[in-house]
Amino acid sequence: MAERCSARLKARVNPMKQLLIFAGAICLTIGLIAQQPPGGPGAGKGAGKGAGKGGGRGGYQPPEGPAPKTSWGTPDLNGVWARPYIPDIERATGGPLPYTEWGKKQFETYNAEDGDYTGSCLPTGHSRSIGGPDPIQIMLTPNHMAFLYEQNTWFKVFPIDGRPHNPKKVPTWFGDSVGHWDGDTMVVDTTNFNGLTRIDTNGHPHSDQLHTIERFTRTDLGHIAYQMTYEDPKTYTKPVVSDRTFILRTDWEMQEYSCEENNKGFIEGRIKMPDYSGKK
Amino acid sequence: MKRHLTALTFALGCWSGTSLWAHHSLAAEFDQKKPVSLTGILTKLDWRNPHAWIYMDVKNASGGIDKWECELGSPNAMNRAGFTQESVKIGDEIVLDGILAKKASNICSTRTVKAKDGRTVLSQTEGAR
Repeated sequence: MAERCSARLKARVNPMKQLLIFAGAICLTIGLIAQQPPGGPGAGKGAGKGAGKGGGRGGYQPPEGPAPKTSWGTPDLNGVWARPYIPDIERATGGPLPYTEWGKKQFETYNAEDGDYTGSCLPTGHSRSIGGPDPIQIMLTPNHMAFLYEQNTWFKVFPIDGRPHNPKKVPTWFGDSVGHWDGDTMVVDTTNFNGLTRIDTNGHPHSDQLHTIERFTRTDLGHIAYQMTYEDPKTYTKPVVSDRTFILRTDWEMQEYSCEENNKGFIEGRIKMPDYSGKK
Repeated sequence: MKRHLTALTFALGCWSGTSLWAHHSLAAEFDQKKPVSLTGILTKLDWRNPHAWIYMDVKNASGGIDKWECELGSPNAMNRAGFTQESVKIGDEIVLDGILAKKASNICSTRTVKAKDGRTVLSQTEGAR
């Protein structure tokens, strides 16, 4: 959308200029707002300045201080985190995406009107959840890590003791993850996706060959430096890498979220569930 | 004037395309090129996930009443942004800006709801994120 806005801005002349700059500013502002912040258990531990300030309609400041450690000595990733909303991975990575022929066709023929799996309350998958607008709580133990996604009250829990993937597992929406520490960085490696999700809201594709590598580094009390690498030789000719910053929200608590309860668009037939029969 | 309307439509298009609270693609149900502005009376606010819904009566050109239903973001996100179900009351006169559904009449996706005095009382594009 931002690209569309920019292109139109260039095409306009003076009488429209101010109004269009205003329109562009709206796009940019929303993008920046989406980059903003979240907290929770473990969030405020360490020698920082309290537990964050503000909240509500803007003004939140994450807590300041050094990166905290857990009682067992690893970096502490616990907390409720706001992440940048990534509706368009191409824009987030500076695009264009290095499509294969197959990948390009998948994107060009995608139309959510023909079938919208997230609008139907099927799982968004990890890429769209970690890049979604709703909070995620990270929970860490010495041997496991969990993502608690507020959206649809989903969760994912996986071992971080360095074990390899289990190839016998059923392919899933969120994939099979294993983690390990690389110095002070948690590396999460995920394979075995079912190939039925999309990378983002705009519908950028991936296949069941998708392999993601995520790196979580607690840079200070209020932030995680996050990197997502998508490797998918069926869809992209080279890895797609996206760097983001998570912000600790000490003022947020996770809430229940039912996708099915009041999903009127789907219940009343305006949103269609994709037809997956014979797909893959 | 026409140019201004075009620009405003375009601005709304940019805005709605990056809705912060949508749990899915707006394009599956709504047309970002068809903005709508409604003034009417709030008859019901359904404050449940994944989308709150506004119900309102809008006077039409022939003096009758059209009943509209317009989707909002998730109550969770709006609560965090400082908007609650107490932000408006049944019977309030409101001005709602949004985009129309592709395949249904009198259905829209809401961007903002303003009170009679111009205050933004509900929004799925403002707030704390």
